[in-house]
Amino acid sequence: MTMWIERLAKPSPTNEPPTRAEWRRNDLMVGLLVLFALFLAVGVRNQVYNASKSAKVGPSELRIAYPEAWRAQTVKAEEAGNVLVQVINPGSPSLYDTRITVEGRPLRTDESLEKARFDRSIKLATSLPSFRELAAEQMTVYDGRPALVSSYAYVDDPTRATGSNGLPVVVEAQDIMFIDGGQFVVVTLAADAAAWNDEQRNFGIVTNSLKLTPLPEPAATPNVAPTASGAGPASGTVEPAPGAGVPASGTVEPATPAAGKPFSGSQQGSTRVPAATPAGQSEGGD
Amino acid sequence: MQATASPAGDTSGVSSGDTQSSARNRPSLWWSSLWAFVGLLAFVGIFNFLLPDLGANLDEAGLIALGLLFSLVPAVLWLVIFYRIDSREPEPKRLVAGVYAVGLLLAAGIYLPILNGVFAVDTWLYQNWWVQLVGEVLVIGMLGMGLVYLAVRATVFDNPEFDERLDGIIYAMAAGLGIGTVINFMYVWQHGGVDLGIGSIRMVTNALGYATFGGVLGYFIGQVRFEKTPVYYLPAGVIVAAFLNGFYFFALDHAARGPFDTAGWRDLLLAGFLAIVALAFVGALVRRSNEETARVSQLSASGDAWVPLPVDASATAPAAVASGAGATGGEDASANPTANTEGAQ
Repeated sequence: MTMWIERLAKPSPTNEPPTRAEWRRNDLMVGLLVLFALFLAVGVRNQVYNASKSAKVGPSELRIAYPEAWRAQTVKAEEAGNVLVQVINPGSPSLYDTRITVEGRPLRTDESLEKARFDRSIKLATSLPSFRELAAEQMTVYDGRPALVSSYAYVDDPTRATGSNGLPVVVEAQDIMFIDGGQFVVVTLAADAAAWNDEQRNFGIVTNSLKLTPLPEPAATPNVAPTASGAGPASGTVEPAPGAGVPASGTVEPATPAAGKPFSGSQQGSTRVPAATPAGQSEGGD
Repeated sequence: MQATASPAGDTSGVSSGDTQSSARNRPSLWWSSLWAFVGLLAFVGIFNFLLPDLGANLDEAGLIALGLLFSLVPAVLWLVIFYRIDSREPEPKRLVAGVYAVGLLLAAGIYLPILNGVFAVDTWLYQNWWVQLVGEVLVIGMLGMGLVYLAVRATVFDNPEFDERLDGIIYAMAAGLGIGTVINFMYVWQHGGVDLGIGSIRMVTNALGYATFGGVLGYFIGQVRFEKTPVYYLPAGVIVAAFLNGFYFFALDHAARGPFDTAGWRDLLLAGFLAIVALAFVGALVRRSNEETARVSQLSASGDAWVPLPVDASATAPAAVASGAGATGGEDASANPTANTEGAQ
């Protein structure tokens, strides 16, 4: 300790003054040090951004990652329905907490991915206020299995249950739908529309874990039927609730850094793909 | 401050008596620190006890204006008090104000854009305690101290008025206060005004932190200004100052229970304690350095009579010293930037 204090107080063994070259050397060393420190800080920041936990869902125990800071939410039994996992962002700036929900139900006989997606759209259109489908696209998840990604918006009243007088919120959401082991799995990313772009980094952790990838060649628009926008309940068309046998919720694993590229799908709200194509062939359609 | 011609037989280039007196310790540093703390407590006390409701009668624009004014008060108070540290050879006020202004500009033009734009620290810095500590050292501390060095280096480092080690501390504190003032400005601006009780404490602690650890770096700047130092010396100083700066704000964050209770006073006491410890450490280093300067002021690089180096000293310095050249003192310090003229009259 004394030695270091001596070195701090008398760094030079002589009284020789420094030269301008030494001044410049000091400038260079300080500059490099600051740049190196900022470089390290970028690494720390990225480590925080990519820190994640994961959940395993479905018959194949597919791993879905979510931001480490988010909190898994317990869903009441009577409200659980098909919900397998739900995590929310407790730090959401909006009254509507950004959330990720994973739902699953068994496929019905001869039901395809497109039919399941269509049924879900009808269900959402009839249950969500001011529902509006924005875009739909074919992609792949995990090991190249087909997936359908649907973007939509609706109005939610998050403070209604508590009796508060908060304003309703326009929610933007995205469903990533695929089939796993005979089960129709839907991963829903939802956030206040005003915060949708800000949450893309967090959503990227989820989509990276799903290995969500656009189709390599221009994808034909899926042959999907037009869905209602803001329509009222359609009697007789709501999909009945699944029966017993829905798999239990997944397990949660310790945090691991996410891998893969950030999500670069088209569901940013800035591009619009018509939900219904008058003349189109869908690959793998039913 | 200019070196005068040395008397015959005295090849040191400086008057040993002047060097001895100039290398004298600065006991006012201790008293200045104490008075600074008392003064800032008074500043906080006024708006917490005497005028607690001053802000209640102001609209948002009035609160912003008042808050902006208050962000300057602690900085100016610190600046005046630290300026008095250098009571024997006070620096020109214009230079000190100039360094302060350069600190302001660097903070507004570089510091804040990097913190909020490039790094967006609010989105990740407070995830957990270790991220906060490392982030505050690496980003806030390193960048802040780097800018303090830049402000001093670019303005007064070559100036003849920078003629003693203590000047490094003074100027670096001024630069640090400039950065702290901008931080306080942004705090007021982003919060649409300020609760004067809580805000006064926060402004005081911010200004105190940046000034104190700017002063720590200023010690190292003063050393490299007048002595040959190892290549690691100044970077080590930046690291020390940055670590202290980051740890200071980390400790304040974790010591505070919340913004709306009496923890604000605890913040102020903690900040004052840390500042006094840091300033005492710097004061001890300055004292030892001055003692060493006084001892070796009569010595050359080889241990003999000190010979001031000519202007183009980088290529000829070893030869000049080895030959015991008859070059005498009297070189203007402003013309010979490498001359060790500390304490010279």
